[in-house]
Formats: sequence, structure tokens, C-alpha cells
Amino acid sequence: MRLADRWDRYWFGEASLVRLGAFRVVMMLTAAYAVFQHRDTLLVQVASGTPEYVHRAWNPIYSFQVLGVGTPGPGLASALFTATLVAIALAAAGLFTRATCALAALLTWFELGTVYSLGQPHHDCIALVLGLFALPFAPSGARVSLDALLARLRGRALPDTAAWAALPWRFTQATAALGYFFAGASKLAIGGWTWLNGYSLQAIMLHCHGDWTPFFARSVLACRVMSLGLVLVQATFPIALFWRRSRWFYVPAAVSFHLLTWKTMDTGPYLTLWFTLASFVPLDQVPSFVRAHVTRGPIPGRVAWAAGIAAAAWFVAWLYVPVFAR
Amino acid sequence: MSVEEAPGSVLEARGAELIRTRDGATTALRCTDPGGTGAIRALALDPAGRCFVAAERGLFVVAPEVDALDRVELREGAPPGTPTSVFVDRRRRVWLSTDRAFGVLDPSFFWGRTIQGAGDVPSDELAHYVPDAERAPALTAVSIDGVACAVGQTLRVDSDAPLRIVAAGTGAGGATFRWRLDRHHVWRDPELEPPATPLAPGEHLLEVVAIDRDLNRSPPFRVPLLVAYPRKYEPRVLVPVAGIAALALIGISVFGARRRSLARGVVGGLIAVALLAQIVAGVVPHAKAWPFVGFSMYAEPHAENAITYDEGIVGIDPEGRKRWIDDISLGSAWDNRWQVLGALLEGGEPAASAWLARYARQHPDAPLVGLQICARRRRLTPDGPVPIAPLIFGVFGGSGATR
Repeated sequence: MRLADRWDRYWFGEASLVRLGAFRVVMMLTAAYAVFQHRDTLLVQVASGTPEYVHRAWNPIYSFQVLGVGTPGPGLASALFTATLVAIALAAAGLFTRATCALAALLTWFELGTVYSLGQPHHDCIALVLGLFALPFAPSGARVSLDALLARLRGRALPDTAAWAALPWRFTQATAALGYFFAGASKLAIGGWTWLNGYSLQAIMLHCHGDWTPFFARSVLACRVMSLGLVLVQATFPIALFWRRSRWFYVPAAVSFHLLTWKTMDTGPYLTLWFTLASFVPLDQVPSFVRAHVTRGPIPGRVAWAAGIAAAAWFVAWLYVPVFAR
Repeated sequence: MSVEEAPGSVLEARGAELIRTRDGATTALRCTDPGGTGAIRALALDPAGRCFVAAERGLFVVAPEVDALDRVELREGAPPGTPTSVFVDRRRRVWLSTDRAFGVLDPSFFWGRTIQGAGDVPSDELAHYVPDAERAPALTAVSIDGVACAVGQTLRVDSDAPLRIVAAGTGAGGATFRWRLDRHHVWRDPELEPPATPLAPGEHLLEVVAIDRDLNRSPPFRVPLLVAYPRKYEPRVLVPVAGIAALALIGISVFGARRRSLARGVVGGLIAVALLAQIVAGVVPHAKAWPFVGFSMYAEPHAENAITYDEGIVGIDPEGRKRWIDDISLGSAWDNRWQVLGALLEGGEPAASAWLARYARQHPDAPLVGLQICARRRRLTPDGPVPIAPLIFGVFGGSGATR
């Protein structure tokens, strides 16, 4: 098969619409989190003025410079923030899905771009924003949406698969994989092999002290081993794109990595990256996977699976919900 | 020879050992330098809480919250020789005598001025010195790359052109000069540490001060800089080039696929463009093209004996106790603590009061009356990181605090 045809089939081949719908919901929940966690910047600093004890100068990102985007005024800042959340909510619910997905992508990019124009850009929302822009190209509202519900009420049959359905999650996967690869490769390209000496990781942890820093940073040898593991996982992450079974290793490894950076380097949980890693998970198969492990097999196994799944769900909710309560 | 470093905590020098007595318990403090301090000759309390130790093998520093002495790495202008005596005044300047010279050090960064005894001239004849007795320093002229700067006039510079700063001014003992960019907390020597290039494109603020021999500073001379994009990154160059490249990729995608579907070809080309842009951004690290950015953060290597810095605020409660302020309580510095710390150092007491008032609203049961802007430090040793005395950049409010 020619490369161009493989390329075509990879991005536009038939895939599950339920997985796409579930992925859309996850991405929109993530977008809501990403925008809401910058509420102080977008509503207080942009809309109401920066407090005297904060230095934040407007230094726009390149695309804002090219497009001539300036600081939004107080009224516009509030309106944009509200419009973004409304668009995200509609896209999550799946009403006029493609249009609201496009609007949510555009507004989320604008809001995060505004935040990054007032400080330094960060990496945690790259896969999210690029993935959001991919959603309108796919039939994102064909399942798991109000659009689908309305179609069913009108008596239309809902398809299970469609062409283009895999595009958003595959593009998000590729973006996440490139991000991890360059995060690992840059450490070696810029810092050299010296970066693996243990002191470098120790210094990074100690610069941004977290709850677990004293435990993890106490031994140079342990930091050396962790440095090696970290760079290895990051630089080889693209393997997960092509070898599906490896995702059982790379996705938990990436989640563990973010958990560790949070607790040892006070980076915050990087929840947006946790959620975008859902692009590697066949979300349409999650219910049957849970049913199979919780309702079948030996009782201790069922209990363990049920407890594990409940604990994971509770933990993610515990991280996710408070950002909206601040 | 002893000093009370904090209520109930006494430091006593016994030969080459520094003994801490606290709550009835006595401990000999360790030294991060394997050679130790050598014979201790003087102790001096910093009003912000640290203790400087003049010793045979150099100047050392310790603080009540750490259990190790650490060598002060003296920088440009510091008096040369073996320390014989040390004193810290109310403004926290560190006055240092050595067997060869006498001078003063900045308490945060340890650069200084040698007042007497530079160039191996014995300092014995200097028996009495009164600082701050002459006129305040003044900056009379600043030029950048040979161009004289006028007040308030924006200077256009290329991003990769080296910035050669030349200043003139007056001050007791002759003025020296320091510069900083974008309100950075570190003021640097223009000859030893000129601004690193390339400068990030966009607007910057360069400030230069004159400093006299007592480390008094002139008001800053401010030069707004407008740094142009390198030609290849100028929107009028980059946007058309990227656009043509994108169209070429889309064209290849459209006409390359057997199906020849226009929609698939266009979107397939767009995907290729987006992935390629991410790869280019990863190979040529930068940040401003978000969401196409590089990954150069956390890539700096560190070695044994390096010092790590963890900057933040130490709050002082009404009883004089200190506590580290968490990042959320610190303020709106989501991506950089210096956005708050720098503003507090710049804004002085009014900004500190505003911050304390905000903190009191957030934590009505645990108010603060003062704060210190500081950096907790640890020295990386083969046996693990050793906490050493913090750098203290500014002290506001609180009992007996000075700036």
C-alpha cells in the first residue's frame, strides 16, 4: 500500500462513533477545567486590573501578534469567558455539535492564549487545544450527544462506525506523543548525558518543593535511576502510537509521571494531560471492560476491580471538581 | 564568642566549631565544605535572622532553620583575603575585614566593594570608617552599543546583537554600575555579565543604576527596548513561507492519495502541517508560537555541590514566628512566583501591605504582620541535599524588620 493511502486510511478510516462521542465529552470536560483554572487571570487580572503585588505584562503569543489581538477590555473579557464555557457545555452535551466544537476550540485557544500572553506559555494544554480543533472535522455528534438523541427521536438509525471518526483521537495521540518525545529528547540534546547524573533531577525537584520531595530527592542514586526511567519513557513514548499493547505501559507510566511531578515538583496535577491521554483508551469498550471485571470471575477479583475503579474515579473527581468551586 | 540567633537559640564559636544550644540541647553544626571553616574569628547577626561567620577558611553563613554552615561564594568587588571580622548593619549590608582588605557585600548576592586594601595594600591604617557620609550616587549617562540613551526614549535593537552597556556617574569612592532586564531581581555587572543574547523579541525594560562604595544606589535609569524579530521569524516572512509550505503539503496530500478526495486531501495536508509545525517547534525550542512550542524547560544539568533555590515568602506572625507561605496563598503567580515576589520587592511597603491585607482576608485566623522575600537553598552533596541558609532579598513589616 502506498504511503499516501496509508496516511489516508490512518486518519480517515472507519472507526467507532461511540468512542468518538465519549472522547468529545472528555475533551470538553478537560477544556472547561483548563479555562476555569485560569479564571483569576481571565476575570480578575484581565477584566478588573492586576493587583499591585503582581507583575504581569502583556507579551502576546506569536499568533496574537500576527492577528493583532490585544488585551480584551473588562466587558469583553467577561463575555469571552462566559461564551467559552457556554460553547464548551453545548459541545459536551452534543448540541449542534460540529459548530459548537469549532467554537469551543476557537474560544479555548483564545482564552489560553490570553493567559499565556500575560505569562509564559505552558505545555499542559497543547494536546488539548490541537485535539479540540480536530473534533469539528469528524462526525463528533453522531453518538453520545443530544444531536443523536434528537435524530433517534425523529426515527433515524444511528450508525456505529463512520469514516473520519478516528481523526480527533489519533491527532491528539500524535500530539501528546510528540510532546513527550521532545520533552525527553530535549533533556539529552540540551543538558547532555550529564542530565542523567541524578543531581539535575534532584535540583529540579528541590527548586519547586512538593509534598514528596524530601522522600524522592534524598538519594542521588535514586534520582539517577528516576532520571533514566523518565527520559526513557518520554523519548520512546511514540511507540505507543503504533504498538497498541504498549499503551498498557506508556499510558499508566505517563499518568504516574504527572502524579510524581505534581507531588515532587509542585507542578500541579497536569490534569489536562491525564485527560488527553484518554485518546489512547478505547472509551467505547470501557463499560464492557468494567462489567467483565466487576461482575464476572472470583469474588475477591471482582471486589478488587470494583474498589480500584471506584477509587480511581473518586480520585479524578476529587482533583477535577474543586477547580470549579474556588 | 557567642550570639543569640533566635529566641532560645544561641550560637557559640569554639575554635573551628560552631555550637548551637537550643532548648537545653547542644549541637555542633556541620559544614558543607569538607575542609570545615577553620578557626572562627567573628560572628555577625543579620537583622533578617541569619548569622555570618568569619573564619580562617572564608566567610560562612548559617540560619536558625538549618543545621549546616555553608561557604559564602564571594563575587566581584568583594574584599580579598582571609576574613578576620564581620559585621552586618541595620540595612543588612555585610561589612567584612580580611587580613588584606576591608569592604562591604550585598547581603543577597555577595558582590561588593573593596574600600581599602585592594591590590595587596595592607588595610592596617584604616581604623575608623563612616559609611554614607558623602552625596548619594548619581547616574549621568548611559549608552548602549555606542548609542547615547535619552530618558524615556525607546531603543530598537536586533535580537541577536550583543548589548554593550556603558554608563557614567558619580558616587563616593567612584561609581560602579549594575543593570537588569524586565525587573529581574538580580542586578548584574555590565562588563562581567552583559545581557545574554538573543533577547526575546518584543518590549523589554533595561535599567541601570550607579552604586557607590557603601552600596548605595542611584535611582534607576530606564531604557525601554524594542527587540525586533530575527528576519526569518518576522510575520511578513514567516507567514507567507509557512503558508506556501502548508499549501504544498496540502497539494501533495490532495493529489497523492489514490481516492483524490478533496476534503480528505485538504484535511490530511493540514494534519501534516500541524504535525510538522510541532516537530519544528521541538527542534528549535521556543515558546511564543504556542501551541507549537519547544521543550527546553527542566533541561539544565546540575552537578555535585550545586545550590538549588526555592524562592517564596516567609510570613511573620504577631508572635514573631516565621512560616513558609504556600503557592496558592502567595497570589496570582500561576506560572512564575517572581511575578509576585518581584512586584513586592519593587513596590516596597505599600505593595507588601496590600499583600498582607489580602492574606488576612484569605486567612482571618492566621494573620501575618510581616514578610520576607527569600529563597530557600540546598546544597547538593553525594549524601543528599543539605539545607543551607536562605537568601533573603527583602524584609517588610514585622518586628524590627528593615528593608
